Amino acid sequence: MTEEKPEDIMAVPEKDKKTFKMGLILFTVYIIGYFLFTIAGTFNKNILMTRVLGLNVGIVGGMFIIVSAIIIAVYYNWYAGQVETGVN
Amino acid sequence: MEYTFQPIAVALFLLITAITLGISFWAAKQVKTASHYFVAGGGVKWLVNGIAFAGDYLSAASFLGIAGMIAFFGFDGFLYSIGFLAGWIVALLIVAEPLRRCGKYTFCDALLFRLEDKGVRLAGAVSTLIVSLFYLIPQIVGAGSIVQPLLGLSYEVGVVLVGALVIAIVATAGMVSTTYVQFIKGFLLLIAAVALTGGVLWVTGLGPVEFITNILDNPALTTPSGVMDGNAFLAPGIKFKNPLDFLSLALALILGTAALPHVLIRYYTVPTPADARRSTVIAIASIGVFYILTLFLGLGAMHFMTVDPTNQNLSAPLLAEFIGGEIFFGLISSIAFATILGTVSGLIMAAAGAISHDIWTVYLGNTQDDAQTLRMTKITAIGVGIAAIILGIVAKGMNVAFLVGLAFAIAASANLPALISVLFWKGTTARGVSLGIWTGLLSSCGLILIGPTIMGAGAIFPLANPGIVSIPLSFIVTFGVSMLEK
Repeated sequence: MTEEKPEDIMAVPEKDKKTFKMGLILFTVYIIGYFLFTIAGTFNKNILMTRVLGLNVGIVGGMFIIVSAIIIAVYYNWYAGQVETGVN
Repeated sequence: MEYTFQPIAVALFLLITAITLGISFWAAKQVKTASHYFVAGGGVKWLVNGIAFAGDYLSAASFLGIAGMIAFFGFDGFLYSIGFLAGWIVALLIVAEPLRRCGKYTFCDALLFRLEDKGVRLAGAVSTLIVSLFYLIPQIVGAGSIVQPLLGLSYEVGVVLVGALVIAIVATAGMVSTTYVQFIKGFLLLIAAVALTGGVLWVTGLGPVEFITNILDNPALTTPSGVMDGNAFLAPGIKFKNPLDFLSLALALILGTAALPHVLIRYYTVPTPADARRSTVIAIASIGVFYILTLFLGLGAMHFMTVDPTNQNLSAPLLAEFIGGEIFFGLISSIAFATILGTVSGLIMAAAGAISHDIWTVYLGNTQDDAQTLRMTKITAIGVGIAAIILGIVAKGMNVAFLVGLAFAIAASANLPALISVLFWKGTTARGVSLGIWTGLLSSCGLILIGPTIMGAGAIFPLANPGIVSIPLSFIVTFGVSMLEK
C-alpha cells in the first residue's frame, strides 16, 4: 500500500495538476448539462415531453447523461495515462 | 399477493448463497492484520476493484428499487438511474485520486490527514455510522422482500436471515471476502440485467426504441399508478408532485455518491492513486450500462403488469418469473439476494470501522494491537448487523430506491463539503469541518423527520428529500466558519 505524507497532498506534482485541470473542465461541462436537464424537469417539464427520434427529450436526455458519463470517464482515464507516461 | 413454495428456485437460492459463504470462509484465511481486514491489504487489482465497486454500488436500490419505481412512476423512477450514475463523475474527476493519496482505513482518515483534531474524527465517525445505517435499511428491506416470494418465508424471517448471513461474512474475513463477493455479484448482476432486458424485448417482439415509442404513443396506458397518457408517464411529475422534490433529489444523487463512506473506503483497497482512477472508470462503465437497462426492466414490468401492488421492490423478480418461469425467477432472485449480501457487507465494514477504529481506538484513546483491533471490529460489526435487522423490520414496505435517496442526501450534506474543503482548500479549519459535518447531518436528518416520509400529509417540511436545503447549508457553514477563523 503506497503511503504519502500529509503535506504531499496539497503539494500536487505538475503532471497531476494537468490531469486535475482536465478533470475540472470535463466536470464543469458535465455538471452544466446535468443541471440544465434537471432545471428543465423541475420548471418546464413540457420540454422533456417533446418528441425526438421516436422518443421524448426526457428519455433521450437521460440516456445521453448516462452515456456521456461513460465517454468522459474513458477519455479522462486515457488522458491521465498519457500525462503519466509523458506523451501529453 | 400470495406466493407459493418453488423448489427449483429455492435450490438455486441455496446454491448461490452457499457459494457466497464459501468464498467468505476461504478469504478469511488471508486476513492476518487490521490492514487486511479493513482494506484487503491495499492490494486489490484495479479491474477486480472496479467490478467490486459496481457490485457494491448496484445494491437492492438499483436492481429492485429502481425497476419498481420505473414500473410504478415512469420517468420519475428513471431519474434515480440518471442521478446514481452522474454522481460517479464527481467521484472520478474530483475525489478519487486525492482521496487515495491521503487515507488509510476510513472516511475520517481522509478528513484528518492534515487536521489532527478529535472533534473532526468524532463528527466524521458519527456521520459514517448514520449514513451507513440509512443505506443499510433499504438493503435489509430488499432482502426481506425477496425472501417472501422465493422461500415462502415471512418478511421478518427474511430480514433476520440476511442479517445473520452478512454478519457471518463480515465477522470472518472483512474486506477480503467483501471484495470477492462484490466482484462476483457485480458480474452476475450485469448478466442478469442483460438477460432480463433481452427477455422483455424478445417477448414483445420489439426493438429497444420501438418498445419505448409504443409506450409513449399509448394515450390510455395502463400502469400500476392508474391509466394515463404514455407521454405523461415518461415525463416528470407522477411521483414528484412538487417540482422542487425533483430538483432536491437530483442534487442529492449527483453529490451523494462521492461522499458515501462504503464507496470511499474502496479507494484504499488498491495499491496506487492511478489504480483508484482506473477502477472508477471500470465502475462507471459497468454501472452506466446497468442503469440504461433498468429502464427496460421497469417498463417491462409495467408493460406485462408483473407487479405486486403492495411491494414495488418485487417488480424485477416477478418480471423474471413471467419471462423465464421458476428457474429464471430463482436465478434473478438469488442474484438479487447475493447483491444485497455484498452491499450490506461493505456497509457494515464502513460502519464497524467508524466505531472501532475512529471512536474506540483513536477518539477514546484505547491503544491496542492488531488482534485486539480485529476482535473489537468484529464485535462492532455484529452489533451494527443486529441494529440493521431491527431497522429493516421497522421500515417494511417502503421503496428501497427512495430510502437510498435519503442516504445520499445525508452523505452529500454531511460528508461532501468536509471532504471537498479538506482536499482542496488550505484555509480549511478543524472547527469549520466539524461544524459543517454536524450541520449537514442534523439538518438533513431533521428535515427528513419533519418531512412527508415520516409525518405524511401533515409534514412541516414539504419535500421528501432534504438535499436542496441541507447540502448548501453545510457548504456555507464549512467554508464560512473556516473563513471567519482565519
